[in-house]
Order: sequence, then structure tokens, then C-alpha cells
Amino acid sequence: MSKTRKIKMSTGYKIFNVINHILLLILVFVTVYPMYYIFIVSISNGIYVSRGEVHLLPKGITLSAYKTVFQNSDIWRAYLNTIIYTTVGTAINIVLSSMCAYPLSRKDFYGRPVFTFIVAFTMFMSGGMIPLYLVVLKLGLIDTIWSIVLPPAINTFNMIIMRTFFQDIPVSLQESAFLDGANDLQILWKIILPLSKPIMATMVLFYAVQHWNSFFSALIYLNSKSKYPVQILLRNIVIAGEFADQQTSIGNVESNFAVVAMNYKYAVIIISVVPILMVYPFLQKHFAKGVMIGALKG
Amino acid sequence: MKKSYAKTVVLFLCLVMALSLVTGCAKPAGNSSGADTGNQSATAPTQAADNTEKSSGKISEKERVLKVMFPEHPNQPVKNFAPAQQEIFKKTNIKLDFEVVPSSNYEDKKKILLATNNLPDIIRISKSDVNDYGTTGIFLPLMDYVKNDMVYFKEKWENIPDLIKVTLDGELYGFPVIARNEAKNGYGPVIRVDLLKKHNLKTPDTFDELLDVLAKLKEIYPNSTPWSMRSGTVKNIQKIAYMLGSGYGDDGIYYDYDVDGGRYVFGPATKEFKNVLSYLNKAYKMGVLDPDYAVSTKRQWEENLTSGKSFFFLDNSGFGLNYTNNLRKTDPEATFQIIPIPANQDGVRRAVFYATVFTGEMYAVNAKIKDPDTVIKFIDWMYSEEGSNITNFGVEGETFYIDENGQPQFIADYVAKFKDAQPSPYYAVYSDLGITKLNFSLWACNTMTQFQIEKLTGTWSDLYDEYWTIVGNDKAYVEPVMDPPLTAEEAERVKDILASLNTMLEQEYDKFIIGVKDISEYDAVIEKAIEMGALELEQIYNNALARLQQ
Repeated sequence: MSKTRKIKMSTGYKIFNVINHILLLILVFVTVYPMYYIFIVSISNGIYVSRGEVHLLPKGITLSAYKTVFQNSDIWRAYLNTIIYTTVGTAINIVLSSMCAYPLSRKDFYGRPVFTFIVAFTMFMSGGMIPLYLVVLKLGLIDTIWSIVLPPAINTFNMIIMRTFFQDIPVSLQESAFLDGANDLQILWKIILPLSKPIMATMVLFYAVQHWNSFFSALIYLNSKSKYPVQILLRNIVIAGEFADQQTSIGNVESNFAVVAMNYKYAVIIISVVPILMVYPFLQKHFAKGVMIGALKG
Repeated sequence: MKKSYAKTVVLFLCLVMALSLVTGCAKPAGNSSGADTGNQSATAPTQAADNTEKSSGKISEKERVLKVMFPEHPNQPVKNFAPAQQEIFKKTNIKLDFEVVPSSNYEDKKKILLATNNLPDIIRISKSDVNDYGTTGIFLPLMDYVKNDMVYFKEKWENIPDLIKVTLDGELYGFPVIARNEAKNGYGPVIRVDLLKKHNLKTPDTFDELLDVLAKLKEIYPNSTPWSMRSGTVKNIQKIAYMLGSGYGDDGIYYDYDVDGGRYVFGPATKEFKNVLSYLNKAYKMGVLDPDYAVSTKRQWEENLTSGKSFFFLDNSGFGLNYTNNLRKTDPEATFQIIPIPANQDGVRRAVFYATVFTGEMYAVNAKIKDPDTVIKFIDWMYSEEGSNITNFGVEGETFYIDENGQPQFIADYVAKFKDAQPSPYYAVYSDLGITKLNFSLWACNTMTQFQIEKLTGTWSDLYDEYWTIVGNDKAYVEPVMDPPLTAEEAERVKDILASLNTMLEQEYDKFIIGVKDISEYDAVIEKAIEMGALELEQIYNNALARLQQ
């Protein structure tokens, strides 16, 4: 009796497993396919792409699209700019966010509720684009790297996540460090930060992706083409031609005797996305790790 | 308490130090990219400055930098201080410093600069910016200069009376980009002529014949959708309505030469518009029109045409040449070619050219600019033969020469270098030299330079000649009418009416095309449109036009 029951349950379990796997595979397919599609189009011959014959496998494999992209010297410079903005920007983000988050996490911080309120307020109310532009303009930051990295120096939401994480670290750890003669900065540096690697990894990823993908601030604050990040070029290449209406009409910018080819567009997308995708696996190991392993005894 | 206060201060100072360390380290990286450009732009003028000191009598006595902002199209990357700008500098002592913004987001950036009054010296604007910002005083008023100081532009101003339409309350706020020797074409019907020949079908001479021909093709190729469209119902109505005896313009309001000797009409509120809808309905019912016509994207449209699934489109007729090239890789006979505009149900043939004089773009001058007289003189020079040759053909003797008719011609040796360039030889030439309408040129070429380069690099084919002959000989096309300037209140009212009117109308069209509603029911829609202010729109535009003509 009990045996059959066991088998029954396990068939049910098996069916559940099969369905579960199928559903999850569909989900994986739906998530991965667009990315995969962009990749196969980028290495396919443009003719087959425009005829709509590329679906599951690349057709007429060629790297000509990538060749064209790499011949464009603007893209290389833009790439370098993006890397600079991302590293400098993320460094500033992490330093400032953790230094803002730590005091706010301390219960003995004088005036903590007031500061917390002031900081949190900016999450819900912002000055808007024009005042922000005027501030950046009056500070003389226009057309410099600082206009890209300073205005988003602290993302309030990220900072509050960080603060919450710091709060969860037992106060007794900080007290014992304090008793041993450590000052606040030492506590932050030697106790809090080493215990916060997971949140730091998360924050680095959040901020880096944000910098990597940001194009609007670059668009409005930068004037020289030589300072543009790659996203601006990418957007221009990908969007252009989509709205082409009048061919050879002087009244319209779009002239379609030469349309930017689909595979070229997709090659640019791949090139701009791959580096930031590569960062992810390296940071992911930190997410999985326990927070407080071995921190506190007894 | 005191101690902890001191500690806080110390902590703060430490943080400041740490921060300055971080930013200090970062600085070289940030600056180096800035320094590069600084050097690039700094070395160029000093080299050229040596030349200028020897000769004088140029437009600007001293070397002068003018910042110019305009959109950059991805097909034609803009280089700063390209040969054309170097040549301008040599002739005028004015160094153009380009601030280019990706064309996909030019509007965003322009709006911010206009709203914060933080303009470069010269900025590209559109006609609507004049309406929105003309009276705020951020643009230099130009009419007095045109009358008193300008020579070349004044000549154009007097010869092209239509240009008065870019003014606002009689004042000019931007210099219009004027097209030079532009070949004329427009939306037109394009069909697979090779299939017509193969199956012994006559080239359709009326719109009804057109449907018959396409229906026959559908019989022969049952899996095809003979007529493909893109970008939605309204866009396609815009293209076909005028040919079928009505009209649509951009928002429904258009100028009809044939109504009362020429006046503005709100197309969808006329009974002529029923012909448009019933024609499309007929095409839909016959299975000729792509059933997905309303949602088809440009890409799907392209797929249909280049894979041989569709045989006809009514759109930019020049597209046919592209698609022919693609088709011929698998079918060497395949040919898309434009046909003369067929007669509509009233036996009339009509179509509109694209605008070929005023490009719709203007360059405004910052009201805060120093020494505007020199700047105006320089801009005037840009409209001269010399200025236009440089900004459209580059450097005389190196990249172009003047032929026996006094017209500039590209030098074959120079152009040959770009034979295999991407995305096309002519864009590569434009980009290399910094020329034509996508760069900073006020009397700008588009087709003139393109044809020359295509002929020199061998991308020109007989099909192109045939195409331009057919368009050129077709008497059906008329010149488009530039809209008259509206006052601020009028513009506001038009916006108000159109917003609700078009929301109502755009929901209706597909019902009639697909056949959910019978065409007789459209009378009710017309009534409703008139109720919502369709006639008032006509009146506003006609009054504005009359005001201008006085």
C-alpha cells in the first residue's frame, strides 16, 4: 500500500518536474532568443536579413558588419570614453554612497531622522531637467567628464539599500572595535566594508550598468563629439533609418539609397553590450555568498 | 559629546581627503580625452593663422571661431575642421567649430538649450522653433540685415517669394537652408515591371486598372500579397490621398490647387475623402492589399518587397532602386520601376513633389553674439556661389573644378578613392569633405552632388536614368505649398482642434478600409469632424495665407 502510494507520488512529482522544466525552458528561450537573434543577424549576410530569412541559424555567415563597425574610428574613441566614465563614475558612486550610507546606518548619529528624511526626499521630488542643467552649467561642468560622473554620484535608492545592509551588521561588532580603539573611519574601513562585500558587488554592478547604459546626460551635457560615450553613437545608428520617409527629398534628413543595414546595427549592439555582460559572472559569486559567515562567535 | 564631535570633524576631513584622492586620480583620465580635442582644434587654426596674417581683406579681420550646432546623421559622420571648413577658414578667417548632436536626439538637446538660453553662436532650428521661441528674444532678428547688409541672400530672398513664409510677424529669425539644383521627385507608385512584361499585363493607366493588374498577379502567385504598406494607416493615407482626388498633408490639412482656384482644405472632412477610403477598401476586399497593412513595420514591408512576396508599393518611389538591387541577387530579371501617376476615378492625375527649395531647416544666430555684422557678412557669403561650392564640393582644384558652364564638378581621381565605401560612396565623400545639407551649408546640394558621385563611382545605372526620366516627364506632379506662418494664438488653436479631431478620425479609417463600416456611414464622420472644428482649421490657414499675400 505504502509502496504504490510512494510510486504514485513520484509519478506526480515527475510530471510536475517535466512540466516545470518545459515551462522554464520556454522562459529561458524567450529571454535568450532576442539576444541570440541579434547575434546571428549581426553575423549574417545583409541580403538574407532584409529578406527575412534569418530565424534560428545565421545565413551566409560574414563578419563584414563587424569590420565596418571597427573601421569607424568614432566608435573606438566612444568606447574608450564609456570605459572611463564607467570606472571613474562607479568609483565615485561607491565611495560617496558608502560614506553617506554608513552614518545614516548608525543609531547614535545625531539628527539621523532629519538627514534620512532630507536624503529620501530627493527620491520622490527632483528639480527636473532644466534646473539640473542650469546647475551643471553654472558650475562650469558642461562638456567635461564631471558633468557625466558627478550629477548621479549618489543614487538615493542604492544608498538606502546600502544603509539597510549596514544596519543589519550587529552593533556589538562596532562596539567591540570601538573598545579596541578604532575610530569611525577605521570601523567603516576595517569592519563594515569587509563584511559588506555582497552589497558592494551588487552596488558596483548597479552603478556600472547605469553608467554604461546612460546616454541622456551625455547627450545634454557634452558638446564635443570626441567626448561622446558609445551609447550615443549606438542609439543614433540603431534608431536612424527607422523613420525614413522621404527619399532624396531635401526636406528630410533621411535619404534611403543607403539604409543602415540591420546586421550593422546589430553588430554595434553586440559590441556595446558584451563587455558589461562579461562583468556580471565575476560579480555574481558575491551575491550567492552568505552575509555574516564567521563574523560573530557565540 | 565634544570628543565625538571632534571625531566627526576628523572623519569628515578624512573623507574629503579620500574623495579628493579618488577624484584626483580620476582627473588625468578625464582630462586626457578633453585635452586631445583641445589640441586638435588648437593646432589647426595656428597653422592656418600664419597664412591669414599675410593677406587681409577677408570677411573677418581677425581670426574668429564660430560655434555651430546641428544634427549628425549616422550615414554621414561629421568631422571637425574637415577640408571644406579649412577652405572656409582660408577664405574668410572664420573657423567653424561644430557641436554635433546625434540626429536621433537633436530635438531633446535643442529644446534644453533653447529653454535655458544657452545657445551656441549659430544653431540649426526648424520652422516651428521660430513660432515657439522667436518672440523670446534669444534669436537675433535678421530682417534689417537682410535689407541693408546682405547681397547674396537678399538676391535669393527676392527671387523666392515663398521664403516669406519662414518669417514670424514680418521678422526673420533664422536663415533658411535653400536647395541648389535639386532633382524633383515625390511619392509615387512603383511596380514590378518585369512581372508585367512576363505575364503580358498592361502598365496600369488608371487606379482601377492598377487593382485589376494586381489582382491578376495575385491569381498567378496565390501566396503573395501584391500591395504592401508600412508605418500605419495614416502615413499611407498621407501618401495616396492627393492622388485619389482628396488630400491629407501631415495632419489632414493640405493645400489643394484644384479647389476654388487653390485653398487649404481639411481632407478627411470632405466627401472626396470617401474615394480614398473606398479605394483602399476595394483593394483590401480583392485581397490585393496586405491584410496586415495597418500594423506592418518598415522592416516587414522591406521583407515583402525584397523577397518577391509583394509587387507594388506607393511610397518613396526611389526605394524601388534599392529593392531592385536586392532582388537581383536571386532573380536577375527583377525590376521595380516607377510608373506615371495613374488617373483617379475622376480621370485626373495628380501628385505632389517633395519640397525642393526650402529644406525646412534654418540656422538661427544667437542674440548675444558679439560683432553680429561680421557674422551676417559671413552667412551672406555662405549663400554665394563661392561659399556654396566650398560647402558642397570641397576645395577647388583638389576635389572639384568648374566646368565650361560654370558649374562645379567633382574630380574623378578624388572621388574614386571612395568607390567601395560604406554606407555609400557619396556619403563617404560628404563625410570626408564636410559638405552638403547634412553638414553646415546654406545653399545646399543633395541630388546634384549625389548624382555626380554615383556616376563617377559607377553605382549609377540605366534604371536611375529611366527613373528620373519618368518622374521628370510626368505632368501630374505639382509643387508643394509651404504652410503660411500662424500667429501664436492660431497655432495654439490648431493644436487644440487637431488633437481631438485626429484622435477621433484615426479610429475610423481602418473600420472603413477593412469594411466593418460601409462607406455611406462616413458622412456621419464628416459631420462630426466639422462639428469638432474642421472648417475652423481651414479658415485659420486660409486667413493666414491671405494675410501673407496682402
